[in-house]
Amino acid sequence: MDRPEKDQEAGQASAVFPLNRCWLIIPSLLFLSSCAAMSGPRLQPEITGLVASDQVKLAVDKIEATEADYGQGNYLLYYLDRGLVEAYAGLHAQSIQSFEKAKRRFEELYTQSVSKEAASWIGNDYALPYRGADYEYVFVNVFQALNYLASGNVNEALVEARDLDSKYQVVEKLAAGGGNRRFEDNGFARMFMGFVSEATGRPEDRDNARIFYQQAEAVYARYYGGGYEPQVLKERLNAVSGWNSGDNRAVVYVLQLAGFAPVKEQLFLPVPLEDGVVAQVAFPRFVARPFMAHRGMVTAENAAGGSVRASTELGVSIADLAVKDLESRKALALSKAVIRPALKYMVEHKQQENIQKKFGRPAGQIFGLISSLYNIYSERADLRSWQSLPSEIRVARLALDPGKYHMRFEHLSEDGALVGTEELGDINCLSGQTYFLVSRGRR
Amino acid sequence: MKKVYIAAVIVAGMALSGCATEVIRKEPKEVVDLSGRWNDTDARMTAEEMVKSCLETAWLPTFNKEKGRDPVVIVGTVSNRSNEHIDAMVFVQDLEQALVNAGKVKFVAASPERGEVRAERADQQQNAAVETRAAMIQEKGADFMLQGTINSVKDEIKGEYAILFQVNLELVNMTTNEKVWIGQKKIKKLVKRPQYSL
Repeated sequence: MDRPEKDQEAGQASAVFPLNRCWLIIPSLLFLSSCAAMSGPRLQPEITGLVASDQVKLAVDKIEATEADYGQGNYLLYYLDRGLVEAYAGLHAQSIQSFEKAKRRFEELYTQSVSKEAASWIGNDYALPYRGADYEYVFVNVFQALNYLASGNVNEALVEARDLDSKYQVVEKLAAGGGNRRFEDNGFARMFMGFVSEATGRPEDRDNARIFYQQAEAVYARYYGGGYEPQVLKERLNAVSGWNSGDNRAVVYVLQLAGFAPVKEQLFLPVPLEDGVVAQVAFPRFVARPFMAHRGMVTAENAAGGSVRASTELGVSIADLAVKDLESRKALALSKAVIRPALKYMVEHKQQENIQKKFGRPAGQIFGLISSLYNIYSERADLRSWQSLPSEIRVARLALDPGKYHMRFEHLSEDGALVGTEELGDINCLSGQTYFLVSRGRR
Repeated sequence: MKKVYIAAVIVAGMALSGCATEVIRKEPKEVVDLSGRWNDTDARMTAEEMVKSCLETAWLPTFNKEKGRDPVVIVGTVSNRSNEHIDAMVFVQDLEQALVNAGKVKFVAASPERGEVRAERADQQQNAAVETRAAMIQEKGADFMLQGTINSVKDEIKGEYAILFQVNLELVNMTTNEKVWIGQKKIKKLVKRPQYSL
C-alpha cells in the first residue's frame, strides 16, 4: 500500500486512519449524497405564497427560471406546479405545454428504477423520483381541459375528457383485481367532463355527458356514503336524460378554486437500538392550510341593470382526497419507515464489528457514532406533493338569456360574511353557448 | 493504485459521454415510433393510402365521363375525436399533398387560405400594375369536399396498452350532399412498458 512509512512504523493504532480511510469515507459519502436529496423543493412555499398574494406573474417568472431548484427527482412536481401557476396567470398556451410534459413524465414513471429503489432503502424516499399521487393525476386532465376551454377550444378539452375516461377504465380493471380505488374517488372530475361534453352541443356528446354524470353520481354516492351530491349534478343528469328541452339560454359555469391543498409534515419517532445506536422512524401526514373563502356568490349583471345570482357548491375537497390518498398508502409507508432503519442498523452493525476487530474499540465507537448521526439525519419522510393545487373546487351554474353581462364574484366565509370581491370580466353570451370562468381568489 | 486511477478515468469518461446530447438525422419517410401516440408517419401513411383508395373508386371515372373534366376537390375539416391531442392540420396537409400529387383531381385552397388570397387579390386591385392584377370573381368552385374524423379506442392494463386509431373520411358532392366515397383506415399499436429498469 501507499501508506507513509512513519505510519507503518507506528503500529496498528496509529495506522487506523491512513490505512482504511474508506470506512469513514463511505458513510460520509452516503451522508453527503443524501444531503442533496433530503428535502422536497424549497421553492414551493414561495411560489404558492406569491400566488396567494395575487402576484401570479411574479410566481410564473420565479418558477420558469428555477427548474433546477426543484431537484433532479422532482421533474414531475415541477411541471405540475408550473402548469398550474401558468394557468392561474392566464398563460394557457404555456400551461398546456407544461401539463403535457407532466403527463409524459407520469407515463415514464411507470417504469421503476431498481437502483433508485435500492438507494431509497439506504437513504430515504427522496432518492426516488416523485411519482405523483393518484388524485393529482386526475387534476392534470381537469386543469388541462380548463386551459383549452379558456383558449376557446372545446374539442381539445374533450380530448382531456376521453383521456380521463381511459384512465378510469384502467383503474376499474385494477379495482376488479383488488387494486386501490383512490384514483377514482374524484366525482367532480367526471361531473366537470360532463359539463365539457355538453358544451359542444352535439347530440353524441350530450350522450357522453349523461354517462359522465351517471358515473359522477355513483362516485359521490360511494365517497360520501350517499350523504352529498352537488345540486348541479342532479339537475344536469335530469336534463340530459330526458328529451332536449329546447332551452337556448347561454350557460356560464364558474369554478371557485378556494385555498391551497394541504402540505405534508413529518412525524419522528426515535428508536434506540442495541450498542447505543439510535435510529428514528419518520412518516408523513397532511396538515391543512387555513383559508377564509369557503363559499362564493356569482352575479351576472346586464346593461339594463338586471342580474342573475348563483352560489357555489362543493365540487371536490382536494384536501380531503389528499388525506384519504395518504391514508390508503399508510401501511406501506409505515412498514418501509420501520424496516429501513432496521436494515441500515444491520449493515452498519456488521461493519462496526469489522472495524472494531481490525482497528480497535475506539474506531468502532467512532463509526457507530457517525452511523447514528447518518441514520438520524437521513431518515426523512417524503413530504412532496402538488402544493399549488387548491384546497377545494366549488362550482356554480348560471343560465342566462343572450346578451352582454358583467360577471362579479363574491368570496364568502363559512358563515356568509363577505371576504372579498373579484371582477371576472364581461361575457357576450350567445344563445346555446357554454362558458367557463375561474375564480382563483384564495383569501 | 495506478490501475484504480485508470479505472476511475474510464468510468468518468463513460459517465461524461453519457451526458452528451445525441442527434440522429432520419429520413422523413422512415417509421419512428417512440411512444405509441399518433405521429407524422401515421398521418402521412394514412393520407397516402386513403387518397389512393378514394381515387381508385367508381365516382371519379363517372364524374370524368359526365362532365368531361377532372373534379375540383376541397379538403374540409378533419375533427379529432381521439383521446390524444392530434394536430389535424398535419394530416389535412398530407391529404392535400396526396391529392395534388395524384394528378387526377383539381384541388382548391381551403377556407382559411382563401381568406388570405382574397385579401391579397383585393390589395392588388389598388396597388399592382393593371397587367399583373389577378382577376376578381374567377375562383374555381369545388365539386366535392373531403371531410372526416380521427377516432381512437384505447385498451389498457398494467404496463401495456393497445390503441386503435380509426380515420374516417367522406367525399361529399357539394351540389347534392351525396356521399360518393367513404373510406376508413385503422392503425393498431401495442405498447409495452417495462415495470422495472436498472
